[in-house]
Amino acid sequence: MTNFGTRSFRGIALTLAALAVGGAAVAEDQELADAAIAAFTAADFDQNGKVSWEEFRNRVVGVFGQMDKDGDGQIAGGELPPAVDESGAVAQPGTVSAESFTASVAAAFKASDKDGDGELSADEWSGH
Amino acid sequence: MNFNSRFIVILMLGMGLMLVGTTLHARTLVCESSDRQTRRCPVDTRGGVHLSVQFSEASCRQGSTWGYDRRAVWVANGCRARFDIGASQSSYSSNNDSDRAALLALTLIGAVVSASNNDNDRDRRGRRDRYDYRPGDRYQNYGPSQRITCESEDGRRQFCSVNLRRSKVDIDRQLSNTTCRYGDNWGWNRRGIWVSKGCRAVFAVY
Repeated sequence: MTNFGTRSFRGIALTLAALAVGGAAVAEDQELADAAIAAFTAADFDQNGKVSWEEFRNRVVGVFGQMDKDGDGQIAGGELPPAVDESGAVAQPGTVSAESFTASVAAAFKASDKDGDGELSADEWSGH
Repeated sequence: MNFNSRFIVILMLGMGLMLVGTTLHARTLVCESSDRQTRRCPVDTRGGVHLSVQFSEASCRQGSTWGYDRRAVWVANGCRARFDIGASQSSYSSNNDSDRAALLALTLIGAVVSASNNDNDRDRRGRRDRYDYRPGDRYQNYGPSQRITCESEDGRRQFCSVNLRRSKVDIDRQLSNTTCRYGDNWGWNRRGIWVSKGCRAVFAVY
């Protein structure tokens, strides 16, 4: 089982980018960092320089909600996008409930909230 | 103490224990706003309310699209969520789909965190929205089709015309210090978005 508790968001982004485009991701590191800051600014709903759990949840869970076409609180079958794990193996299709998804997102948020203030700073967002 | 008095004492003790049990154990409540309407879900909220699971793509922001008073939880503008009622909070972490959920979370977090939302940047790259991401390019359809800035100046009502037929509207960014509360100082219909009472925001149209 993948340990998400110790992984930074920057690490997540770079891992996914590396899986997608291989070595090209290294060359695009700066571009990715710039995009991460832009994404942070977009997620900072009240523009206070930090992203709260509520702001983060709305950003990420909102996408989950869009994928949940029938609105039954879970993503299954064709609603689930293709994904690969750290080894590059294709994840087996199945069902993901909103409850489990929320728990995973919350764990990742908590792991990145280094100072434990309940919000992500730009540095915490970028994994610095 | 006669029999009746003893019975009453036992009954009161029993009721007291029942009350303690009710207080200590969180109850859950699913409250859903359909068709943008504000919905009140009656419940005793004196033990507190915590949003535990958000089901909707529409945002659930406390004080804006959900909240509570002593007698009910309310939701608005499409917010659908499960709420914990009471002191403790539910935990959802040991389900059978946890591995799959973690992987999906990883993917979507990566997409959201690393994807630029800057309009100029998006134009330069020819991208359409903030959720696009290269693996499978499956996120292009997740994001607003346009953004509209609508501002209430000096507390006056302002109507921002835009064709919203078959669309949904959410606040993308609040610009005012005044909280924009759906149905109170902002709303929308097929012809556009209205704001009042100092609500200023960038609205996302989906």
